[in-house]
Amino acid sequence: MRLVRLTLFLLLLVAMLRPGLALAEISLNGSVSNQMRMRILQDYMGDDYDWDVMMLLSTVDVIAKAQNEDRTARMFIDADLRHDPTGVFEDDLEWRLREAYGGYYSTYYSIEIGKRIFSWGMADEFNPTDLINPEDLRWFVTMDKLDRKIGVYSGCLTLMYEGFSFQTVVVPYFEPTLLPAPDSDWLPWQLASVYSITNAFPEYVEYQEDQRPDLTVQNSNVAFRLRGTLGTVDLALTYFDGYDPLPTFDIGINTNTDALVNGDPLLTLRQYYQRYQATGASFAFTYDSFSFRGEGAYYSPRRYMYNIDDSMLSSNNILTTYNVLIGMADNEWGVEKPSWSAAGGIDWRRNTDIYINLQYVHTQILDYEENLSNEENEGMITLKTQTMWLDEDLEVSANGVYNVWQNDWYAKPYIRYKFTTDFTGEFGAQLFDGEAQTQFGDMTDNDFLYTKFKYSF
Amino acid sequence: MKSRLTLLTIIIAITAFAAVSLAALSAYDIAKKSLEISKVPAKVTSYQMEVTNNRGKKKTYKFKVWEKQYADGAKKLVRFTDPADAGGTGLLTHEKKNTDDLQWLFLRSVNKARRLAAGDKDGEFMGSDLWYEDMGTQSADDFTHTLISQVMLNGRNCYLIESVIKPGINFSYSKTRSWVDAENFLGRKMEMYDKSGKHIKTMEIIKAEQMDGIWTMTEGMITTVGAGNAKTVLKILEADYHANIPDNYFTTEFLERF
Repeated sequence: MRLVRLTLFLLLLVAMLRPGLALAEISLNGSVSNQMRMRILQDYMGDDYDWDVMMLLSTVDVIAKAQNEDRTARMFIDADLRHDPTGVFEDDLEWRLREAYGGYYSTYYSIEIGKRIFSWGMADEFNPTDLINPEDLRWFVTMDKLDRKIGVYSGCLTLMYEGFSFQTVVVPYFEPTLLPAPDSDWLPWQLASVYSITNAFPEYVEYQEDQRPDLTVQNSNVAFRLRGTLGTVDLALTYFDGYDPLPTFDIGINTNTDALVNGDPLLTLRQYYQRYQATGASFAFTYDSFSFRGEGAYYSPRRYMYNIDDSMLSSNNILTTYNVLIGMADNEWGVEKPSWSAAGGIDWRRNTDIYINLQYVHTQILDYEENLSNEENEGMITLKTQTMWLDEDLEVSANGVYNVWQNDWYAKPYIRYKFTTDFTGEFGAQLFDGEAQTQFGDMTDNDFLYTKFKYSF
Repeated sequence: MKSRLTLLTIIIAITAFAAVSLAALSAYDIAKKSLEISKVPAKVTSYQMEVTNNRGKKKTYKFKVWEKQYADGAKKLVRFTDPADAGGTGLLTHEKKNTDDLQWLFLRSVNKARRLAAGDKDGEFMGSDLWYEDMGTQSADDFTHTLISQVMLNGRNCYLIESVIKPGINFSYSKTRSWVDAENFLGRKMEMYDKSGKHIKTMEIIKAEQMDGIWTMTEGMITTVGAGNAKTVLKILEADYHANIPDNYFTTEFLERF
């Protein structure tokens, strides 16, 4: 079915662009890369080392472009095939159609239809207004942001006038965020506590995964963006109305006393996608060698989960647990709350040798209740430094995130060398630290070193 | 003897006339003519840039430049096509008279146009001897020009012009010295000086020819003082001086569509 849908879609694109592609420029590019990650088991550091290969990811990425002479019609396809024997993919292989869209572009408007990745917002890495695409979080946030993004089937109309653009995006087909598997090392503690119920008594739990909204017009995600430059300041206003691709969970408890005897499922675990609205704005301007960027959004409402008390699973006896669960049958597992998120930062570059980017990102849940699994306030300082050596062949960089409120942190130091213009090698580490039940603190056992080689063609 | 005298008189007369004509041109006029020699309403140029570093390692880039003149300035889009790793990288510049340029950089790895700070303009362009500043165009009005002398350069009669940036104009160099061909006003050589007045770079023509009836530097070399054997050779592969470029090419939307 998926293949049929894809074939029909590609035929539609070709039919749409055929008249304009008579004098087409066609190009085929891509890359072949390999990334190996080795875990640093910290318990042994100092006296001994132990290495565990966490990833051996080989990727072939192909980008095909076709456009007519005056660039009024265009087709773009980006697909990759990935192989990793460490068990993340089914049969160790996965292919992704990252983007595939056709577009018509005139001076005052453009229309694009197909699978696309959008990048909204003027802040770096953390973008409160960049809400259209879900992400692949199976390796937490250790992949590059663009690589984490999942393309969405969409229609995009852009109107342009005097340096301003107004973009409307409609996403009729909902795509959820990809989460780490229940046995993954990258499972965040909130999800782990949900899965702990299913893991403890799998035979009594019905797991309703992937409960997507029905494919109806009303369920489409829509987003609008007005963007332009006023004087010397870049500005954007955005609005999003759609489903949160990051699920929360509802737990249904079967109170029928015969259920246990009959072997019926006692629990139903259902992924729940909340529809919400987000109103946001972003700006960027420069002064001398400095760039200032800011971005913020107000979300109303998003759904947050209450903490799940793992102690009910302390017993190995299903009867004991069941009795505890029966008492929780009327519990609410999640609650809708408004929230906001804002990012503000500054970056400075000296020639192309040194680049420093400092940013603060704050998120707050309004009308907060104790016992929510998310903290009321999260504030993160992000730092990105880059220095270039040997005529820009050697890059020495470090990215870091420090959560001011939870005191946990993440760092990624690396060096990248261009052996030729087409072949690069990278060596680095990704490190996590903090208290348990914090975003990065939970990942302290996952510190790793990595190598990555990439050939572009 | 009489005929020789007549010939000499004619030569002297022509030379004197030429000298008077030349003298009529101020340093500003020469600089303006030189800067505007290839300034057409809209043009598309394809370049090949070969960067050789001090260790002799060579890198070759190809890029295309769309440029259009507007009443209040010029707009320019640079898009890399080769090598594959840099393919899609784009630089959009809006030059406005009497104000700082606005620049946006698109990198595929970020997937969006990022505003570039003015200070970034004295950064190396793709590791070459060119700076981002060099990819923009200058207005003669931004400088105070002085005609130093007339000199011969590689067999060509040239004006040597010194152009000092006016106060309040944000430019990566404090001054330039240009050797402008007296016949066709093509800039044959230029020396750039940093803000402390130190000579830092030299740009020279290797080859020039008429393209679409306009004198064009088809091959040039840029070297950085003190960088040893490092050099950047820039070649024009194609030029269309009568291009019809839609205005939407100079938007961040187009920049993001690599």
